[in-house]
Amino acid sequence: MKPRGRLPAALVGAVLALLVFGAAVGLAADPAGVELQASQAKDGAWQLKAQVVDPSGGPVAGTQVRFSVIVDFLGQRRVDLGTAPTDVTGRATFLYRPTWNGAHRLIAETGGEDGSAAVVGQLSVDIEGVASPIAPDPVALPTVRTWAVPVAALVVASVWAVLGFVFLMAVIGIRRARSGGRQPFGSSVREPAPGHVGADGLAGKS
Amino acid sequence: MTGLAATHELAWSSDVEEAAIRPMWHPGRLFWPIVAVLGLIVLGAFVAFGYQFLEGLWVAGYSDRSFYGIYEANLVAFIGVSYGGALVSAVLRLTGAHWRAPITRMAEVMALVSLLVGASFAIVHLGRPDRILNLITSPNPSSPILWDFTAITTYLLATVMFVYLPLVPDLARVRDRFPAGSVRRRIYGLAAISWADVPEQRRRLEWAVGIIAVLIIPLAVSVHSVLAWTFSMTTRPGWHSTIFGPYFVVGALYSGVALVVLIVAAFRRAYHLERFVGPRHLLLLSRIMAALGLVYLYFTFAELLTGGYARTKDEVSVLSALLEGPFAPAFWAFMVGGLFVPIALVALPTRRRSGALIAAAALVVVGMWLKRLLIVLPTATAPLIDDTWGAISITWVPALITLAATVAIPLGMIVLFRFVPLLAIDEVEQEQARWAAQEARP
Repeated sequence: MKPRGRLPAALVGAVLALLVFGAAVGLAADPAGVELQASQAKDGAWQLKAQVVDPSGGPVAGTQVRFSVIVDFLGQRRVDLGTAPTDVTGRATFLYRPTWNGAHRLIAETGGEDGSAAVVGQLSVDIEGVASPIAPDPVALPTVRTWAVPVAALVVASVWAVLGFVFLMAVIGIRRARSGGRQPFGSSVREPAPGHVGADGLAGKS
Repeated sequence: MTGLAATHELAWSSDVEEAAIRPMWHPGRLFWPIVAVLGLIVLGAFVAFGYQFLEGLWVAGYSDRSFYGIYEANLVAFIGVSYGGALVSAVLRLTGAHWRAPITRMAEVMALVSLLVGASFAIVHLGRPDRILNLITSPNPSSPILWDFTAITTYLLATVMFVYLPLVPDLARVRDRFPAGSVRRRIYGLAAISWADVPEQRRRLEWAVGIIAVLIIPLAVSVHSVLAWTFSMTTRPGWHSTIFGPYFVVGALYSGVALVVLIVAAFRRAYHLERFVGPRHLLLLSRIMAALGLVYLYFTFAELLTGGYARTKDEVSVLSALLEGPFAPAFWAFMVGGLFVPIALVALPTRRRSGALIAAAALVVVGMWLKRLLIVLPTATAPLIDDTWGAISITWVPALITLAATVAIPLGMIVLFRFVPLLAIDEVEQEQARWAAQEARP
């Protein structure tokens, strides 16, 4: 024996559920305001919270919120950070990792896809202590790196010093030897050419 | 001939003195035409560089896919030949090779002039040469370029001293040829540091030249090693090699000795130095060159074998381009013309010995320049992101600048020899005295 009256009851229930859900979704697709908040999170990140509300001030669930930041580098422009959906309380949460220190103008935006006006919430925060987005590799051979440049510089300086010292000693020595009037070079000395007139004005042997 | 020159020339009894100073008084009928032609080419290079400075490096064929080119090859090649000149003089001096005496002055002056020419490419190859002073005002110790600059300036200082100090006795002889009170006598007197050939002066001079000769060897090695490291410290295929330092040093010596052979042969012919510079000098220099050629051949083999055997993707790509691809004709031309043939010409006896040696040296100089281009271009144009190779076109700008740099070496030398003796008179005479003493020995 078939159970009777069960099917119409299930159908009615399903239709009612559909109507309630549709009404909820229909109402949620009409955001009227976005309030943006930011709070510091771990590891230099910031948590952005966008509260989306409908015209009656109720939460709008299931809508996408687009987060962006205004960058002022070679002209002002908006840089998209990403999107997050609102939960049942109408709140969308996004983790933002800033890459520079100073004032940040953050924007949360929803709606506007179907030609209607987008709803925008803005917030300015001053962010400090931002770590470089590029994490350098751990320094290899730290002791060598510490000493390599000073040692190389010392070597270069020593070479310059030796060159300068040798040159000066040669010049000074040659000058002094001339004024000192030392004895002529020994047996290996070059004999002045016949008729050759030396610096001292004396002619060579003939 | 001026009256002064005529008078004093009569007083000269020494042949070597006469031969060494002849270019100062009688440079020859062709001196001014040659200086004018070579000078015009050099002037043209300055105009070309001015154009490049205003327009940017694209006029030299550079682009983002071929960021290095002919200028970098010139930088390595010209500084390399300088190294050869200094080393020939320093090593032969330290090893007591007495036959060196007539060629040392030419080798040393060649080292200085080619160093000045080569170092100028460090500026020519910059996109913003006006920023060269940043090396001094904002030095970055992590940059190989800073150490390259340091090594070149240190080597330049040592080379200037290495040229100047052995000149002192010869400058004194030139000084003595001018009448007392004349401006030129005063200038040469200043340069000759009151040289009067007394034993203490000679002792001081030999001490200083000995130390500089010792110092200039590691300095020259450091210059070319640092130059090599500016390439090999990158991770680019074809450059990232541990043997690049010694590879460059040997290449510099090989091409440098070859240029010394050419310079000595040319000046011997042009200034009639046959009585002082004989075929034996060319033969001994060529043997040094051939020995260095064999070492360079070994390094080339080692470099290609290790790169090719490991077969990393990028390395194979560059090696294929070099050995079988678009750079293969130039590479094999170098291997045959720049290595095998010159070594064979030196090793095998030929009838026209000097001619063969000069031809071998010329092949080495050209071949080694081509090799430097082959070190630079394949890697500089190799693709790292996609498979598209860069292309470099050698336009008139780098062609003219390279030609000017080449002619600037003989131009600088013949102009310099208008002011300083061509031969190391003092050293040659000491050598003659030594031979005479040996002959007189029972």
